[in-house]
Amino acid sequence: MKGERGLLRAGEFLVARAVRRLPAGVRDERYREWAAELPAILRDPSLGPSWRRAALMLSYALDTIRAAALRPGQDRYRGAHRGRDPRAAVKTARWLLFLPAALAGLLALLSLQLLLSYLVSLGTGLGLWPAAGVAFMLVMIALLASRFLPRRAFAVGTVLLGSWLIYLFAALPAGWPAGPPVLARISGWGFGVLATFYLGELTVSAIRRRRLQTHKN
Amino acid sequence: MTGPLQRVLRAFLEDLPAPRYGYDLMRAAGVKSGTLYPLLGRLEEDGLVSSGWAVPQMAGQRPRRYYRLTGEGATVARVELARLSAGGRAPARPGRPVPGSLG
Repeated sequence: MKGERGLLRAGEFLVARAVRRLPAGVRDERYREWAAELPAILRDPSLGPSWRRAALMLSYALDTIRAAALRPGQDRYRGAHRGRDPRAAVKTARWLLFLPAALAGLLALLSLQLLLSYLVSLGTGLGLWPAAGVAFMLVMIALLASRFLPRRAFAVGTVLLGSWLIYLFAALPAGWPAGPPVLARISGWGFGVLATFYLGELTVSAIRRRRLQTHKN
Repeated sequence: MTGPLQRVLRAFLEDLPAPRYGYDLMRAAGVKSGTLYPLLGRLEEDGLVSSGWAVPQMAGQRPRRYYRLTGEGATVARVELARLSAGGRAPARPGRPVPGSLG
């Protein structure tokens, strides 16, 4: 099946997210149990065409979040380290549904930025502003990639953002983009949205770290 | 007894000696993973279901966890389902058959 490896990785990512709600003692076993079903679903010809198998596999993986959180009884079934509110699992599931759409939107925005930078560079010659735009896009791509990488990569993304800001201030004296006004405006909004997203990410990460620290104490 | 629990127990009873893996039960009972695994966990805690790991016969497949009803589980399942069919009252705690309820 085309793209099977990527789909399996997406499914395993969701299952890994789910088992994080469980205590360490049962996490590995549950992960092995649930992840073992993913390739079986994906390769089962009785389930229909490949797109349907992919959807069923992802649906299965997504619903393991509920399986990890809605077990009544002892705390160990609720993921004691994540609080006791089972509604949190539903929120996580909703967020995971929203995430692919958000990522697709961001990728579209990045593509638009790339196109606009190219158009501006055609009109004005390759100035500092388009170069700053490209650098910012690289930062955003690093940010998106860092969501799936260890925390160190996220820190690298932060350093890159700082570098871009310095570069931006250096580029400002060279003037704002002289391309078509509408495109320049869209470009400006795009930068704003992307920067807001990045700062939001930083804020959420900081809050999470603080909560974790508080919980440990 | 909840609808999903009834369907899972019926799926087990359809072929009692056969071990069933998670997705197999999901298909047979028409429940989602988020419903099935907590159910299986509770049944296992109550000693009505046992589980074990096995390598599937098809090459390249990962080891799977298989579930089957224990002797007590089969008895409880039959009695509870029969009681439901006869129009009996559901157990006091929804979704959880009480092993000692057979009297």
